[in-house]
Amino acid sequence: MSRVYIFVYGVVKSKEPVRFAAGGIDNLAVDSLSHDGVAALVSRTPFMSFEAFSKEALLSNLARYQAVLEKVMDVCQVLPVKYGTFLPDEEVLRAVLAADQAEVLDHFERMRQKLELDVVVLWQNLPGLLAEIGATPEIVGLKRNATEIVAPEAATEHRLVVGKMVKEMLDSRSRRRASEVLDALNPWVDECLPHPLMDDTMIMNTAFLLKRQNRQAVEDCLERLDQSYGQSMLFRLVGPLPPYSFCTLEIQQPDIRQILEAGKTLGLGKEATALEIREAYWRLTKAFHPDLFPGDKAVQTRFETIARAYRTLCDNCRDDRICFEERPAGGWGRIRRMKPCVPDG
Amino acid sequence: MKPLLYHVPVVHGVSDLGSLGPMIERRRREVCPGNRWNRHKAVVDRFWNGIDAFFQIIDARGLKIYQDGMMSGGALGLKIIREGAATGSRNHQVVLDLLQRGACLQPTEDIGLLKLEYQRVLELARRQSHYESTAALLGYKAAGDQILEKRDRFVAQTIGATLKPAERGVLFMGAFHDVTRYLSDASMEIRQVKDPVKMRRYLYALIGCVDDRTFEDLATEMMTPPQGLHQKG
Repeated sequence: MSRVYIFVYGVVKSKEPVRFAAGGIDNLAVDSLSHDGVAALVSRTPFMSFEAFSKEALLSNLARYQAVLEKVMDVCQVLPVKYGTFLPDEEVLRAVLAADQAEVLDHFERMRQKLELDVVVLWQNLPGLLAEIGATPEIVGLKRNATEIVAPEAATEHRLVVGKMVKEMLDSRSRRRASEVLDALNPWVDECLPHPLMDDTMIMNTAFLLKRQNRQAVEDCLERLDQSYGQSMLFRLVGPLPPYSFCTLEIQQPDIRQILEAGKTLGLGKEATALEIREAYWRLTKAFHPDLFPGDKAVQTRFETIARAYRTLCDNCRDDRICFEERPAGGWGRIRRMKPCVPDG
Repeated sequence: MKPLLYHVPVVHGVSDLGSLGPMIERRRREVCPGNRWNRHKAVVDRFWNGIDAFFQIIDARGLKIYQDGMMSGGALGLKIIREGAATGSRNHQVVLDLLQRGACLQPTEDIGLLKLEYQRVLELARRQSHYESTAALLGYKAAGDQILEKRDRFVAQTIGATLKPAERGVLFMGAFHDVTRYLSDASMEIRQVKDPVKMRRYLYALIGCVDDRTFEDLATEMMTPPQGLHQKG
């Protein structure tokens, strides 16, 4: 009999079992694995990672993963788990849920009665807008210089300057419009998170977290904005969604060898408290601080290793202590909130 | 005599997404303005009907098939094509028909580049922007994708090295690829079965940014069966 792995979609706060006969990744059945009022939505699969799927399957499974979470969202509160989370067995999953139950419950509390709406605003007619920018006095003047004043050998460079200025003017208009939309939605939303703009047609690609009761107000507000901007801008509203952008959880499965190595690096014994770990870290960083040994690369490397070991141990402390000789009751796995993806700049 | 290459820029169909399909349909309708998502399903279907009809009257014996994402030929390649065809991929169904009529599947892509592409898609899938992942599912690709460009160069090199004088080949490659740019007109005759530029414009239009009339013109172009290419040459 082949081994079965667990694919995790999300976590729900429900005592009732959840079950779909099909529709999960690879069109598998979906059910829930409960632990004390918190349950994980899972499919059992012969695969241990997405490496076994084609690129097309990866994307269609993404759609199925999202559909499972959004269907469950209609009946109970759900927090997504990072797409592509496979665990070796049920025991590991139950252990993680048990170990970090308090943290997971805190996340549920923070997201209670809230949902995500993604708002995308696009320029409806980018070529027309670029032509309009091209007809502004600044750009017309620059173009005239290009033909009348600039020497032929500098013409290409001058055209680049014109292009850069057109782009800056477009970005400035996009930012202004995005700011107007944000101001209009502000009274109805609790948090917002900008996602990267996909191309120049995009003015806004932002996720909003809001109370369920404010959903209609947000939709009405967007409707009014859509009418007031006429044909120049296209508004797209995606949702309601689970809080993908604000509270996606990640199940971390640290490498036990890394933890043991970190303990050795900080010179710790068979077990240590959080305070002892911190004290060992301070003692060693004082002794091996690169400022004391200018130009010594070995010391620099040692300093970095100590910092890395400290972070590893802090991440894996349970109840303010860590034991290097025995596996904790809940295993080494942790469930954490993923850092939101914020675009650069 | 120069080798002849038919280039088919492909757009992926709408596969069966199981019992949760209606939920997925709803999200796609939210991303595509107006009725464009529903229209798209019909457009893709008619697009592939046209491609299928085009190849039905071509003698497939000895035809070399270069396929998007295909790193193997032989039995493994055939297995991948059969599986894709069975799950409803129109692209793979057309290729399977050609193989059954005597065409030969070529290892087309570099496995290292495909792994990089896979990682890129996985990262995209894990991004929390729902709009972006849905747009990717619909076939959207942002400009300036370096992996895409490297794959195009590799596929062009493969075709250049394996398609000999007087031989005929077919390249099925996603509409956002630009492989033929790296193939020399002097050494190979290239027949565009569909215009890739118009197909890219159609896919951009699907998620907005053009008025309904322009979208409809592009959709009509997509559905028009390829014409006049058999007689050339």
